[in-house]
Order: sequence, then structure tokens, then C-alpha cells
Amino acid sequence: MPETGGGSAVMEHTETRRNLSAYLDDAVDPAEKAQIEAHLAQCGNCRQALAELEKTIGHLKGLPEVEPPPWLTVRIMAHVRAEAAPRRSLWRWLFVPFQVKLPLEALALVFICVTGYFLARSNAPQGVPVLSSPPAREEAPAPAPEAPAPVAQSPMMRKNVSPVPLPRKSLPPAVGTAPVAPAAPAQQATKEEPAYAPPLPTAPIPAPAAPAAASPAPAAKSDVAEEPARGKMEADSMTRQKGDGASLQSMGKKAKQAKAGPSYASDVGRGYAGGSTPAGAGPEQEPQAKPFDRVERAEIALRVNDPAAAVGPIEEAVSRCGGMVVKRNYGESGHLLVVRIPPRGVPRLTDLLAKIGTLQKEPQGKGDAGPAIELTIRW
Amino acid sequence: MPGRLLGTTCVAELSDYIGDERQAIADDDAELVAAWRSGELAAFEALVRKHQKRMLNIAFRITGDYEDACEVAQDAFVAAYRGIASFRGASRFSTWLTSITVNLARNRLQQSRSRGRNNSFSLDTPASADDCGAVHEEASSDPSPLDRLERLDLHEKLEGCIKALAAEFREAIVLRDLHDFSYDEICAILKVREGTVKSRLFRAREAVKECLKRVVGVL
Repeated sequence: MPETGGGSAVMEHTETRRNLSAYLDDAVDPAEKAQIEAHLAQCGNCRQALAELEKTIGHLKGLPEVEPPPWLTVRIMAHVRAEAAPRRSLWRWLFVPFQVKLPLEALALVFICVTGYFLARSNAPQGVPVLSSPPAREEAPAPAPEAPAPVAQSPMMRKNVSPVPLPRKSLPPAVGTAPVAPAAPAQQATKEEPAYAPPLPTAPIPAPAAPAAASPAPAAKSDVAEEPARGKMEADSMTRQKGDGASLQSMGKKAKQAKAGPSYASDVGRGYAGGSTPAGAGPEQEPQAKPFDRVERAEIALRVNDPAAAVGPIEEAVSRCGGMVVKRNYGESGHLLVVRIPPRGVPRLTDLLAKIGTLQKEPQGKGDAGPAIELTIRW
Repeated sequence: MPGRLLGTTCVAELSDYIGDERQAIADDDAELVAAWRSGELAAFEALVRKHQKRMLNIAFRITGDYEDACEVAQDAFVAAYRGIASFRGASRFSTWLTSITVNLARNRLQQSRSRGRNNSFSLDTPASADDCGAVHEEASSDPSPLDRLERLDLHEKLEGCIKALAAEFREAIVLRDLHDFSYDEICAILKVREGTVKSRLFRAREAVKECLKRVVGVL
């Protein structure tokens, strides 16, 4: 191809030189290939450059290859097998195999929860202990024969109330006939717990109202033979409770009168009432008696092998049935416990006492008694 | 294949063309690859034995160090095993593996140069109009590299000339002139256009030619 000009010739020369490498690799299109060949036909320098390029490429192609070391494949496969080994993810480590790890982990979780629960309970502030021991509560006011004592204890005693809904049964005839509402202490208690008869302190037996003796004695069902013993027990209680001489005297009178009349329970009830209020009114004449203060009286006789040992269980039974000990009289000849209990607790108490000993006399009375029944338990 | 690819070429398309062109050759590796995908380590070991020498030599010519080349080859196969999911089969397995090897070798070369291990031959290359800037210039108070090269045989001198090339030129000349990869495959391996491949090859060959002329004399 004839050179068209100096400038164009230089350009063609340069362009040809640049394409020589691709020309040698047959990587140029036919048009470029034709141009290059045409130029080479006329340019000795380019032909020399081409030749040198070919030799260089020839030398490069002639370089020997290096051989891989014998351990290369082994090392590669060792790495590959390590890669191929299953990696236990955290999930698999925790839960696989499922049939083994899941139960164990569930058991561990339950154990942790239970332990934490009990630890929390043990560290929680202790609650108010349940007043389940009547003797302690009842005996607290025992040494305090003063009037305030009973009043102060009223709230405590009131706490013993745990009304247990029990089917009403025939309640023993009111030994004390008409329910007698105690006076001031009872009234105070009544205000706070109208559903229950105001508690009566056991220790002091305040002077019963004179009319108490006049209270009718519908003790038709009371055992006349027991009255003498009853009277004796009253006397014992009188001697123990020396706090109120007047009340002792009045109680003595009542004891005598109780032979022909109702039980001293009514006297007891009245006794509390007569502390600070005119006790002139009899049980049927208590001007301050309120409908909800009327208490029905009943009696339970129990035969036990060990009277002394039965004291605790009997008092506990009374407490469980929502009753409160009004009076205790424990003597060598026999034990006496006067309690106030809601009517619905009487059947349950009867059942509990039947387990303690043999019932010789079951309470009988109206099922629709007032808020409480004054129950005398003898054993 | 619709003729030579010139000018701007999409690398992805190149991969497809390569796959179509080399379908017959790729069949051998395809079976082993398929077996390997199914979990047969023996198939992968067969691939290792088949390609380890080539990968080693590519790595050796790029890194210039045999020990580094062994590590690069080892890492390349392990990387290929890990990345089997990314190999879609659009190109030959050997092309894909070579791409991994070249990348790892390039990185190793850069690390070596940063630590001064790779003693590139510093040739005083003239700043010619041919922009033969394919050779590193390294100031040194040691005996002239040309003097050292003269004492070596041709192959050693040739290796020296290759080591004197910059990484991208070294890769092009190694893939084309030492291992006969096609322009398309080189495009896929280096992820560059065909024009870039041509340019790099031209500059690399010119640099090696000039280097040899200086150390050997007449080619």
C-alpha cells in the first residue's frame, strides 16, 4: 500500500505496531488484518518488529512449567474435608438431637422456675400468721380480769371468726333460753361484726345481772343430773377467776339458781353484759339487747380417754369452726369449755368433737339461731 | 460464536459465549462439577488433580515465588470449594477457577511487594512513545539488574523480565502467552474489555521484548 503521506504514514505505522500483537493472535477483524499486511509489505521496520514480537512470544511459550509439590493435593483435600465437615451451629448445638436435648432443657427450665418461685417466696416478707390456736388467743386476756382487758381483746377474738357455711341443723334448745346480749363489751364488738355475737372474755366473768337469775330456764332438755356438777364446776371457775369479786358472787348465785333453771351459760352471757351496764334486766328483759345479740345456747357432752390431752384438740376444733372460747373451766372432775360459734359451724364442730371422743350429748337447737350459738362443751 | 468480539463487550456476555464455544471441553469438567455438587468429594479431588498444575503455574508466574504460588493454588481450590454455589456454569470451570487464582495471586503479589519480598527487576525503560510503561522502575544501589540478568540463562532472564512487569501486564502475558487462554477467556478472567486485553498484551510483550533485548541482545 503506497504511503499516502508523512503524517498519515506515521499514524499508520504506529497503528500497525499496536495491532501487531493482536495480529499475531489473529484477534483483528479482516479489514484491519488487510491493512496491517499491506503495511508490513512495505515497512521493513514493522516487519522486524513483528519478527521480534514473534520471537518474544516464542520464548514466553517456551518457559517450562513448574511441577506442583506432591503434598499439594493432599493439603488441598484436607482443607476441603475440613470445610465439608458439618459445623454445628448454635441452634444444632442447643437442640439437636431433639429427642434428648429438648426434654432435658425443658426439665432444666422447669427446675429453674420452681427454684426461683420458692426462693421468691422464702424471701418475701412474712405475712401475718394465721390465728389458728385459740388457746393462745383466749388465754392472753385470761390474766387480765379488768374490764378493759376484755374490751381490748375483743378485736383479737373477733379475728377468730371464720364463718364456715354449714347447713343448718337442729340446734340444741337454748339452754339459756332467750339469747342474752351482753352489755358494753358485746356492744362494742357487735358494731364491728354484726354477723357474729360479740366475743366475751373468758377470764373475767363479770357480775351477771341479777335478772340473769330470773331468766327463764327452758332447760327442759338439760340434764338435771348434770346440774349439780355444773354447779360445782362453776364454783371452781369462780375460785380461779378472782378478778372480779362481785362477779364471782353473782356467779355463785347464779350457780345456785342454775339448778332449777337454765344453764349458767346464760349467766355467763349475762355476766359479761352486766359489767358496766345495769344488769337489772334479765335475759328476757335486756333493754339493750339487740336482735343480733341474741345468742342461742347449746351443750355438748363428750367422753374422752384423756381429758387433759383433749383440751388442745377441742379448742382447735372450736377455732376451725369459727368459734371463740368464752370461758374455760378445767378441773379434776371434768372440763368445761364455753364457746361462741356461728350456727353453721356447729355441725362441723360436732363432727370434729366426735373424732376426738365419744359424743354423749349432741347440741340441739334451732337451726335458725341468731348470729352465734353459745355452746358448752363438757368432757 | 458470531465472530470475534471487538470493542465494548459485556463480560457477562463473554461468559456465555465462552460457555457456548467451549461446550465440548467443558463437558468433562461439567460432569465432575455435577458430581461435586451432589456431595462427592472424590469428584472435587479429581478436579484438583486435573487443574492444580495449571493453577500453580499461573500463580507462580504472577507471584514470582514458588511458595507463594503453592499457597495461592491451595487457597484457590479451597475458595472454589466454598464458592461452588456461585459457579453457575456459564463459563468453563477452569476459567472460573483461573479467575479465582489470578485474584488471589494478585493479592499475594501486592502483599509481597509491600513487604519488599518481590525483587522486581528494575529496568531503565525509556519513556518511549510506545508508552512502554509496563516495567517497574526501582531505584537501587545494587548491581545493575541488567548485569545480573546477563549472568542468568535465557529462561531465568525471561522470568526476570516477566517479574519486572506490573501486575496487570503480567497477568495478561501469563494467561495468553504462557497458558493459551483466548481473548474471550482473558476478558472473563480479568473482567475487562477486549480492547484492554489487547492493549495490555501489546504493552507487556513489548516490555518483555525490550527487556530481553537488553539482557540477551539479539533475540
